Amino acid sequence: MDMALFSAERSYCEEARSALARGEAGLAEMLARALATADAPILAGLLLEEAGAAGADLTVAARVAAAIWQGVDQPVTLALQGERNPWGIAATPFTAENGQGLNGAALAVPGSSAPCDIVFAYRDADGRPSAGRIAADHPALSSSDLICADRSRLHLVHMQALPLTDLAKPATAQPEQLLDLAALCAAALMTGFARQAMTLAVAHAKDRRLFGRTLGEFQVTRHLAADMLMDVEASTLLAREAFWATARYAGPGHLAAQAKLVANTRCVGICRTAQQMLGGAGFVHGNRVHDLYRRALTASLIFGTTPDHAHRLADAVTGGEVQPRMTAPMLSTLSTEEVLL
Amino acid sequence: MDFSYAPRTHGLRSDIRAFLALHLTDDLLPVLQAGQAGDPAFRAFHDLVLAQGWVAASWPVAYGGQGQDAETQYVIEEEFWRRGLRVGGAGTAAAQILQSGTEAQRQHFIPRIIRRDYRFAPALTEAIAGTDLAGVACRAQRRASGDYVLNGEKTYVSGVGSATHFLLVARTGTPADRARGLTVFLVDKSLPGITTHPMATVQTEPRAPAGTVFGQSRLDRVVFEDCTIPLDCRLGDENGGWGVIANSSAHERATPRTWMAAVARTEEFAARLAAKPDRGSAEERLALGQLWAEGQAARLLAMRCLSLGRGGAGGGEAAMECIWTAEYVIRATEQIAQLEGPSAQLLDGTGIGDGGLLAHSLLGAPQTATHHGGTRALRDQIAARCLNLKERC
Repeated sequence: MDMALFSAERSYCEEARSALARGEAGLAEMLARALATADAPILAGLLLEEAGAAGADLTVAARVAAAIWQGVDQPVTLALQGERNPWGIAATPFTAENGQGLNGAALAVPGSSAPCDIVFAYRDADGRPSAGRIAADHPALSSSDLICADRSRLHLVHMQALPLTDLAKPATAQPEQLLDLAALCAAALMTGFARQAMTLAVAHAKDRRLFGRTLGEFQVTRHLAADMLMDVEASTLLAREAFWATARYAGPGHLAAQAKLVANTRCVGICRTAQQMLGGAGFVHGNRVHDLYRRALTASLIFGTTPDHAHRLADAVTGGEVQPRMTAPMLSTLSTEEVLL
Repeated sequence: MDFSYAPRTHGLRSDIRAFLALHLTDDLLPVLQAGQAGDPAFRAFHDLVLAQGWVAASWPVAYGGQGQDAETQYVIEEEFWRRGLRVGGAGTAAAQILQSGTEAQRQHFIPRIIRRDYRFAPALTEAIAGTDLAGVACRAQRRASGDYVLNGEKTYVSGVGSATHFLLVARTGTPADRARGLTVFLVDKSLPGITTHPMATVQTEPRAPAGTVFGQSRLDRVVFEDCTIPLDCRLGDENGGWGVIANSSAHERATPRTWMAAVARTEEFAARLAAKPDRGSAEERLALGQLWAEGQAARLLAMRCLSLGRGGAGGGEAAMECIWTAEYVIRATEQIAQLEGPSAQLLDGTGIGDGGLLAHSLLGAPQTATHHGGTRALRDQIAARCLNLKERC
């Protein structure tokens, strides 16, 4: 057991930091490098942490989730949920009814600024969840732009009588796994937002003086900062364990829900605290901490809210997917090779 | 990064489970959980476990340990704690003696602690010096002969009933010296001049049922009156006591017991919901999901301390685990109790519900926030050590 980053992982993070500054080309290069390794999900998770710290939006999470799921990086949009709760495989946005093709509407998180395919979750005529892929310019689709709280863009995609025969079925057609990965990738991105917001707030606390002292000399500030660090570390550990499990087993499973649930509450809280520590500056348009708070807020509501993931976990724990014991994942029923309980 | 346990520990888990299936009878379990180390049945079981090499697994062979790694000991502690048994570590005071003791003290005390011939109770806190250990007033005066004479009293001392010794911190400098005027002693409980006075706690009447895991059924006030302590029972340098206590406390914290105790009520709550035909109401399932995720974070924060190595988690990581776990257990017990309703506050002996397990946990959970100096002091540690935010920057 070694939960610190290995030297190759640390080097990858350092290079990712530089590469992300080069925009799309840097991201594509680092993602390709991650996918070429046996531990692709672990490196992809670290890439998302760095992307979050750099202020990327959910587009990157969607792209990385699709890349891990498919094993290759092809620009796609993910359309996995409707515009309201719940999130999960039981609530696919599109359904096939009476052999008339697929119908429904979904929020689509852009995977690329260029026109690309849409990977989506649907329920087939027999009610089985599935995943499909279709070109965004298919005549059965129409979409409108939505402006998010973090000023990133989503699309509301309408689907009307899309023939099932027009769909490309991805090689690994496991929609549950794709949903888990999307949630997990958003969680990793959020830990990056939170860590960066904390870093900026702590730097401010060391610099800003009031009543003859720096802000950081007040115990209340130090304790807020300690809480921010504790929360970001806890969120990060949950996300990293889920990526590690993805690399080792079939997918993150319920570990993704754990990571997203805690990121939803703690990472948003960290960004909010950081914003408060900055005072008025935290509420000024363009301030980095303010922007990170917006990012976290939006991400907490996409790919599963807190109640969505709480119910997902309750299903797993009470429904036999895992035993009601908080063991490490290799000791739960997630693994078949090392089941010891 | 690698979140897996080393393959060498896999067979160990099976071995321990087989051992417990054979030796841990229903009659024996309450005796062991009561923690009365002087009880013959307790001693006999401990000797069996000792013979398996499962006590002090990561401790040096030279002092009676098994010379294995920290991960092995963690797995042993985890497996025994699943049955409510505190097995695996060397014992109270062993870490401080290993780090700060003379070679003679190590040779004398540590093997006896491991065998449970010696059982230490931590006598650190005083009525006016808990979180602020630097405010300790209990005084040890050095005589010309080299011995010390101890006067004063300690409060909230746990494990006194079965203890043979105290790990005691006393003032040897002036009050103005604060942390620089403290010294640690290994005090034989049978010395003249020591009286113990049991204090009733929230878990005393009725006594908390086994498995409550939070709060002590008995704490003691211990009074020292002209108690003479031999020089060779001083641990570390005179006035060097702060370092003895501060540097070894992180060593004790790389254990699964804290987080496993913290999630016990949540796991039971999960099992209760799983047994219901509808697997719980929407409210119950929402609470379970949130508590489950946050409990898993407690597990990971503890495993991170283990991953850093025993004694290597002094940078604030152990403090994070302590705070997260303490605040989790308070929140979890209160939330579960609110969902369970009126029976959740019925203490042991009423014959309704779970025998008072949840009610006693409700009463005891807040005590966890006072451990290791309290969450306020732990937050100061994190801010100072990890973020370089200090009282005076």
